[in-house]
Amino acid sequence: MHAIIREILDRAGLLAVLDARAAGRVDLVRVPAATFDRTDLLALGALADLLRAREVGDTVTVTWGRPCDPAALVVRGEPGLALLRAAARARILGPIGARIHVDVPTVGFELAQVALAFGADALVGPPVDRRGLPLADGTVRVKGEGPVSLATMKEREIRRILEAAGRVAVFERGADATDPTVLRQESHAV
Amino acid sequence: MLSEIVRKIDRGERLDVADGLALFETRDLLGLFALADRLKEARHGDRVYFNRNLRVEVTNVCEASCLFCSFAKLEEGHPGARTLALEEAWRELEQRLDDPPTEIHIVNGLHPGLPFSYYEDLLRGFKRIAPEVHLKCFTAVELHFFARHYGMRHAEVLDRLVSAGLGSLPGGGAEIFHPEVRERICADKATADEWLEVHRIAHRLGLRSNATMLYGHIETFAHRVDHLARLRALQDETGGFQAFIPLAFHPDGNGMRNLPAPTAMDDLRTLAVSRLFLDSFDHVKAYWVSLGPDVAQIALACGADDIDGTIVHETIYSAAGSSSPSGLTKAELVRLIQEAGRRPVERDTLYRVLEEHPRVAVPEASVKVRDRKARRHLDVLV
Ligand code: SF4
Repeated sequence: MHAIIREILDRAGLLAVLDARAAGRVDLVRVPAATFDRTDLLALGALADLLRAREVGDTVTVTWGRPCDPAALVVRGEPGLALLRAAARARILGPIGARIHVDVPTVGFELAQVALAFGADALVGPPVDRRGLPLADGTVRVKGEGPVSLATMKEREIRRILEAAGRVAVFERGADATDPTVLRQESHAV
Repeated sequence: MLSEIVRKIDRGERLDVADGLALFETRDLLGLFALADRLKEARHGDRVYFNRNLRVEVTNVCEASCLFCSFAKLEEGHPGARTLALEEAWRELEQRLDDPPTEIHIVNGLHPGLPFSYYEDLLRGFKRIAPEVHLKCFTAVELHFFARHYGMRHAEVLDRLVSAGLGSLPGGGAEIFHPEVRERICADKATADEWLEVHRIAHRLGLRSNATMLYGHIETFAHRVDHLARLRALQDETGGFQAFIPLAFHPDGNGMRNLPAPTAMDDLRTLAVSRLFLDSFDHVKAYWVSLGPDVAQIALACGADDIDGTIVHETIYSAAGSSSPSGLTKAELVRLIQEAGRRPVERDTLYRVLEEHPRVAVPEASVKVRDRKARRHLDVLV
């Protein structure tokens, strides 16, 4: 951990959370609810990102075309700052190794990507374009490959973006699953 | 690597090009943001600046053909080509005299058919209507074009415009300085040296100016650092720059439409690196028009201390079909800054404080901001 991160965690009174979770003692994690509204955003993000890296590693699961793992926590629909705080809160208070999904259609890919640095480790679809609209069915011609579907192009773009951030994308598609637990800003589900 | 850079900054040493590159490449983004925020806090505390400004684009006719530009129409008479009569331009201000902006920000295409007196009259007219208003007008690219097109030296162009009311220069037109990029994306307008020379002369004449960088297209991180290093060198020489404004490239409707747009993380990273590398720039601006209000709010925790202004009226983006608001009210800007846990400070163009608002705890998203998630489409800023 960099000194600067240690410094902001210390200032926010969050260092103890690291120790508690490292010992597997989520029950000892004591964070007053107001902390998540008022604490320095970067301190919350830094703690959540450290926990994410320790507990679930660098893999980002991208779930397209079906509901995600029913055990996952899903953050959705919040505007920027609140979304980041909600993702961090889910990571800090959630079970060890929990998957924290961000609902891309309701927050947009831009902010979903930022949430991945604030504790989230999964994106849930359907795939959308830059403007947040569903991807068309079409194809584009790629030199040396011929026609490639827009969905595949999107997948490649997401892989590239995540790799640039040091993360590894794993795409999941297919069979139905039940609705996931939904974590909202006002909920205390975790 | 970040630890070594932190130590360097703590020792008061200046970052070099290799450090700049390492910052762009670091995967420790939260560490980068925290470091940039620390420097911003040391310089400005929890203050975040904004102003009340009016954007006017008097012509989109342009003889240049920048690849990234969705705004310019090559010739008068082309569909969509538009040049305002002076009275039409002045009316933009007259309609707002009940709550007048403190600044008028004017940028245009490079119109080969207008007389120089058009621009002088334009400024004089605004000053006649509102003598107090600050005129931040014409990028270095436009000013260089004026010099070449009307057969004057840069200093003469500036002198005449200052006599007409010019108060400072916006920062557009810098794009990417490195010739490997500049020659590919905007070969037929002012070169990097010409852009820098216009600002050098303006600073010597006592004018302040801003600087920009258009990022996220074909340039590499090395090109970005080179760009920042050139700006820093000129700032060391003149001290005339006020703010640095990174501008995110947007691919819609222009000659680079096949490229993806830069991501929000790239936006935040670029702002943070700019704060750290441009140690002699007072202000780093999160331009909400191009970032969208949501990402601009996050940027206030990543080294930015300014969010730009109300804009009030803006035609470039809306003409391109953007769904984003074409302006935010002063109340909306104040609340956006307060939501981000900062203290809103209304400034004038030269960063003199006009009104300090309190830092109050405002629940995030408590204010209704139109299209707050929308990311504006950056088409041109000459
Ligand atoms: S960016 Fe400016 S100079 Fe270039 S084509 Fe557009 S209006 Fe003309």
